[in-house]
Amino acid sequence: MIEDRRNLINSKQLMVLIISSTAGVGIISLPYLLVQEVGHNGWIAILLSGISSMIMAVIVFKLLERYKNKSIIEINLILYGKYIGMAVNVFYLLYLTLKLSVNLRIATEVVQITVLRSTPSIVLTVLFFLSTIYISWYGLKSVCRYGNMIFLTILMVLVLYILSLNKVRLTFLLPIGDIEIQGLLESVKIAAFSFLGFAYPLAVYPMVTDKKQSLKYTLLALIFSTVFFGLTIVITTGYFGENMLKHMLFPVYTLALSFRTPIIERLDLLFLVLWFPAMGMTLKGYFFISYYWINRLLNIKRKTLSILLFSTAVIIISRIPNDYNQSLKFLGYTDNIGVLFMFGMIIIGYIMSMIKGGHSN
Amino acid sequence: MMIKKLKTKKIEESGNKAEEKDDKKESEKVEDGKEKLSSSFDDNIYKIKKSFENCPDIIMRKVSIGQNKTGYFLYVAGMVDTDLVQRDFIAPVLNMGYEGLMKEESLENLPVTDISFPVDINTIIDDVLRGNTVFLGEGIDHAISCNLVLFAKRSIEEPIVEKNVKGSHEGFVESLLTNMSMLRRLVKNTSLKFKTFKLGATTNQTCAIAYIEGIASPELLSMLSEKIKNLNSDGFIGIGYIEQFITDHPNSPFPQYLSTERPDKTIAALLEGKFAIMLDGTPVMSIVPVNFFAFFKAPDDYTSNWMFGSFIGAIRVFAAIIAVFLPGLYISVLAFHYYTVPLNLLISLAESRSKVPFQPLMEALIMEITLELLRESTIRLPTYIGTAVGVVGGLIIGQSAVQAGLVSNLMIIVVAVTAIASFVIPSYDMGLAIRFIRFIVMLFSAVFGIIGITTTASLIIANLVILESLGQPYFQPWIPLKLKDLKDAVIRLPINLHRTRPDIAQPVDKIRGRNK
Repeated sequence: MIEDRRNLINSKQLMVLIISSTAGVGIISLPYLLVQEVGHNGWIAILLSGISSMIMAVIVFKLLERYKNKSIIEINLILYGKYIGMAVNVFYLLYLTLKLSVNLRIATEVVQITVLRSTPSIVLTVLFFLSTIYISWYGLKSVCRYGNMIFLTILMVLVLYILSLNKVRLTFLLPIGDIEIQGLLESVKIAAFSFLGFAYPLAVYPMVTDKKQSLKYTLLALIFSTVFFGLTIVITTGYFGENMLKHMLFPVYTLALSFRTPIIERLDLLFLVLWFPAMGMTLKGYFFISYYWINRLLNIKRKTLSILLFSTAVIIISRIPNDYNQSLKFLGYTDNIGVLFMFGMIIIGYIMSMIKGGHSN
Repeated sequence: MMIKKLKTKKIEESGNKAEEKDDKKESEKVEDGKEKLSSSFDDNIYKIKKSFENCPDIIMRKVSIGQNKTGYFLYVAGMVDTDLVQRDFIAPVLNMGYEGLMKEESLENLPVTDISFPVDINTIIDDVLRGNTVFLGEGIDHAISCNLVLFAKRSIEEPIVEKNVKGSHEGFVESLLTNMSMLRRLVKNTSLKFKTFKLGATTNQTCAIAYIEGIASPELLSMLSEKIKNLNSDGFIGIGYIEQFITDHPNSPFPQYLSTERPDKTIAALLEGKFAIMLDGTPVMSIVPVNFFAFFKAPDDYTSNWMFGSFIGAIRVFAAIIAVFLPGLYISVLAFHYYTVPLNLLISLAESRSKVPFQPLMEALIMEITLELLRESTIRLPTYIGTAVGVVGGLIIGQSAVQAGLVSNLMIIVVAVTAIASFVIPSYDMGLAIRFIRFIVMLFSAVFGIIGITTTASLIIANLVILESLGQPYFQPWIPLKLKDLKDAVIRLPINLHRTRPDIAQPVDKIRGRNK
């Protein structure tokens, strides 16, 4: 099938897609989630997750390269046959849709808790989703181009980190490595959710024009995300300390809240203004992939109708949890199954492809 | 040459005449649906007269050319130089007489520079309507058309909306040929080309794409030509009509074609490999492809030191951000996030607001709509009345609105700063876009506070990254990032660093000043 010009991207754009999709919603609550499991050693979990993600990325590309110009959806059909392959694909897309919906709800809840307490959550959800629907309609290239805005947000966060450096106590990070293995594994799993960026090439590989460069840029994206996440954990842990961090839902936001500036009395508002689009970027990546492949699998031609139906479904699913805490739990359940499924699908897929042998065109 | 061709055709036709007598009328039709001159002079005159029925401006002067034969001079009154036509066309033609008119060499010696010999009625009519003087003689199988056009036109002046300090003070006029000559005067090179098209089913206008061969991309040229060729409408009153028809994203508020009345700005664009769409009857050119930042540039940015150019460029972009978001920010801060205002300012703000009975949105809308009314009225009014309206608006309404308790003092400052900021933007089209978006931002911020502003900002950025101008990304060189082109987006680096042409027009020759 000939790809629409508006969906074709290059490897650098793939890198931007991965960075913008991983750094969005996750960063808001990740330090809080990690500190519950491994205390002040969250950065070790990030490092291990980052490394495992890179290993997974290499396997992903090994698998993709065996089937030229095919995505995991098409590869599954080849490997497992029509029915099992379709079942795996449905599960994969269902997982992505669930993850998208829960992330949408979490982003909405963050805004409601921090700024607009009286505004109904559903209204914020729709508001949040507007630009995602709009930009996804115009294809993957536009999604990736929009993703560049993440660098502006990251720059702002880095300035925030630099400002807070003089109050960071490295002693809060000591002693290094006093973790129980079970907690470490649990935290690596939590962090791995944020690094699912390696899953993007699986779905968008046929749309990448310079495929030879794509592994390199995927690894660069994962390194960038690992460093940024690691830095975030180090700064928040060093600034607040382990005990305080355990009671903070949004540590990075609270960090912004602790600054005063001469003209804008509260820096947290500026932080939210810049972080709001970043949270949207995570949604855009998931939205495009799920919507695009559902359309392809079901062979839907009416684009406007399908995008509206899919958006409505996502919004309805996002209403299932009652509040922020339930959303986090819901995300936990989804990810527990999803991460195992993703890792399983990739590794088993790769083994199957080797057993079946031969390259398919 | 044309006469020879014509005669050859005639011989061929006469050979076939005997056997295809019934098809005579059919053979009078030549290619492209044009009706060939008939052998009957009266028929031809009848058809032309029929076409020019109720057109009192078309003059048909009957003359005798000897040997009992007559002829007609046709022209549009007010579109020809009567003195020259009489001296250099009518008099020599009459002096030649019928016999002279039949000789090829006599016709070639007619003392006019631009002459042609149309053989079909459609071309004759077109020529007359274009301002040519056409002679049609009995017994002669072709007409003689000469171009001695002279019609009233505006003199070359500095464009009112694009004033300039250090550069040229010339502006385009309504005549396409004059505009072409102005460009030719600046580029004395055969590589400056004009690809022309006939547009408008009723108006029959001439449109041209100006470009520099060897720099401009042939692919983009054919893409643009195709778009213009496919235009189908009665007529195109201004260049804006064409822009709206051929734009890739007609539902975006942002202009995707840069309109200008300045030849120097047009030449600068052509030298970057861009195209200028010219339309007969309008002094405005449309430059394409362009990026978002081109709308914040003025020729003066390049004629002064790079530091000032950069400074002014940055000020303009900052002004655009202010013009879009400041009223929305005022509304959201007052309605939702008053805690972000420093305490000292908050006290005086509260005092001023305490007298105002309206919501911040209503207060902002009252002032912004009043300002838009003032702006619109001053644009259409003569300058001297416009100034008076400005005084009424600025001093009386502003001051009185505060005293009457309709708006707060800070609101007046916000509106004034916003208005001044929007005046800074050099492009009228971009100014309109910014004014329009401001109202959307205000409505969103009144409902969702700062998140409303962020949402609209996200949508604006989404729109900017989606847009394309002639297939080229509109928000480049920032997104997609083109490092080497950042030298001329927002800030402008020293002129000696501008060795390469920007990527947006995909120029064939990427290096400036290379000898060809």
